[in-house]
Amino acid sequence: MNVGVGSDQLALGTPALLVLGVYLLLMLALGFLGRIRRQNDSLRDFYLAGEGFGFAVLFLTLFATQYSGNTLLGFAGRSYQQGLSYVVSVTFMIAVVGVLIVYAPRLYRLARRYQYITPTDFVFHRFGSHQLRLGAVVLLCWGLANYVLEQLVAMGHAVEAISGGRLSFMQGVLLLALVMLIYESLGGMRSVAWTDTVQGGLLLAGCAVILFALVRMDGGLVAATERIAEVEAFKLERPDGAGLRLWMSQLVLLGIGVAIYPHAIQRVFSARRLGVLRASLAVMAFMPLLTTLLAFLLGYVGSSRFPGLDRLESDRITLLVLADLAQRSPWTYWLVILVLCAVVAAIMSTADSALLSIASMFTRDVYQPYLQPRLGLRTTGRHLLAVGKIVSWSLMAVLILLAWVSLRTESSIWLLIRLKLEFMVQLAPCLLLGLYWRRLHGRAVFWGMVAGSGFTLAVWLGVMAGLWQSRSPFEVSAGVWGLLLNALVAVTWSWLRPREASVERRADASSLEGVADGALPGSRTR
Amino acid sequence: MQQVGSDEVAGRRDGVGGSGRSEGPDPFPWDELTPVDEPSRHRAFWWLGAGLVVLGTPWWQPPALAGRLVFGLPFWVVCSLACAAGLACLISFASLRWWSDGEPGRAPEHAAEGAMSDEAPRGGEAGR
Repeated sequence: MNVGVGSDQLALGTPALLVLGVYLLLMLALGFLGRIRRQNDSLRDFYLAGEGFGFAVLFLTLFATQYSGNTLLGFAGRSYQQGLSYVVSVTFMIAVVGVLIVYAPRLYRLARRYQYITPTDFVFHRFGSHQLRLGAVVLLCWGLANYVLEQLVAMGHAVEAISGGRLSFMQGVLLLALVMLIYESLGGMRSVAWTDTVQGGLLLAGCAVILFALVRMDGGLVAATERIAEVEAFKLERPDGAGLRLWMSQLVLLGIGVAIYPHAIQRVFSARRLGVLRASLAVMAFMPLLTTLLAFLLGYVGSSRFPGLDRLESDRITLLVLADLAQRSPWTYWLVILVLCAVVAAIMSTADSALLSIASMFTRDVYQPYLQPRLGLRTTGRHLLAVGKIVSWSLMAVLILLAWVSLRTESSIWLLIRLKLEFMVQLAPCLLLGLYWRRLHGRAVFWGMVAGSGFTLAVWLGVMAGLWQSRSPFEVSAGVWGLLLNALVAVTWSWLRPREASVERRADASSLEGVADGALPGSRTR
Repeated sequence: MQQVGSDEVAGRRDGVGGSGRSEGPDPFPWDELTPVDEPSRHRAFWWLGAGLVVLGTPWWQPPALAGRLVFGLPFWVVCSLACAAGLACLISFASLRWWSDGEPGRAPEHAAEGAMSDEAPRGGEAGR
């Protein structure tokens, strides 16, 4: 995603840099506070903050995590390109919460009882398959790493824009990534959630004010629609057959895919009690009507003021609209600074959560069960936390390098870094069906996942090799086709397995008493 | 409180890189899985949710009506946003009223109202 904007277009001066500086210092202070408030050196305390989130923190951390820089920058760009049919973005972000309340009641219950730390804890507990656990970790980490990389690129462009070019793209990336790594390493999930609370508050305030301004200024939506009708009337048209297929494809891919983001699931695990989780999700259901609707309208109003932008330029539409607003009055100038801080906050809150999630999955699902026993190292909570932090810092170094290289090379290989949700959504049968259908078998799920991911990858590689043009055959995303294939393999295979075996297994089902007690030294056992 | 460990659970089924073949009893605690009430057990959740998604998809409005401006936006867009708002209300209601785990102040009998089954969750039945 290219969200850069020339320094001449958005030169906000020293006050903007000062506000950014104060914001970053506040993030560091919250990191230290998270460190001071830690209860022990366990994975649970570090990655789930001891399951102690109340309503305000849980809601704002869910909110800040779910809405990334991509929401305010990327969604607006899509709205600009696609026109009014991108109003589906509001529905699919609401559907995300709908999917969450389908699986969260069961997963939360299990997580409390069996002290899950990562989503793959459930996968392994449910299916007992090493293959499946590692396959799930690979898919999720690939998707999340690409997600972090995308946020890093957005960070660089955002800081460059705020500073009016006084800080370069790479200086912006390094500055924000360093601040993020420091507060995350200090306090883990606790620091991340507290910074998310500030970031979520900023995002809420920024979105509310800018939405009001967009609807009220320059004749509002009526004038915008009239201008678009004159220049790009196709953007007002109701989607036709192909458009409706794209509509449903986006609804399925994003509605399900975003709902199974590992960092979102870990926030479900972190709720202090069920009532807090229920209330947070109840409020979260309405947030797309503020945040996603704003991004949609930003793109729409932007296309009335800046018609004719190409695809790359249209990704900068949020910044162009903000630059336009900033020049109008001192009031709108400060408003734009607030919104840009909200953009930076949204980017950082998503990136830090994704990074923490990767570190937790590597430590919990790869290092602890497979690498640590072979290396013969003593497992202590402190040791495992150190491993997680090393993973975070190393991965961030690699991703910063990739962000730098991506700016200097034009290669179709970069297309692969956009392959995120299409991979992560392949976990849906494992998670959703796995919680509801006893007969679903681990091997079937694994090969379904391989088939779905393989198909998606093949379609994308075909585009890179020039074999075909579209990553969405028949206007349906390759990820959705992959998901259908995946579900078909998993369900058919499980259905065709001899019934006696599964019945016998269920009849003899025993509890997990003694199976895993004390598996994590240093962790809190209740 | 039990904890899902690493190797212990693994040892009961297959080895590293193994086939995933079942060799022993299924120790997954199915009996502990289902809360007192959950949204997925309510038919109304699925029917209303699907209805709002279908109505929010712009395929049904006559062209003359679809292009009419309401609040500065074409009618079909306003329809879609209204259905999205309805969906948000449904999800919020389901989260607050159809999700219970027997916490104090929430009557368990509420779970039976409109539920598909009082005995077992839908999915649990499917596997039997």
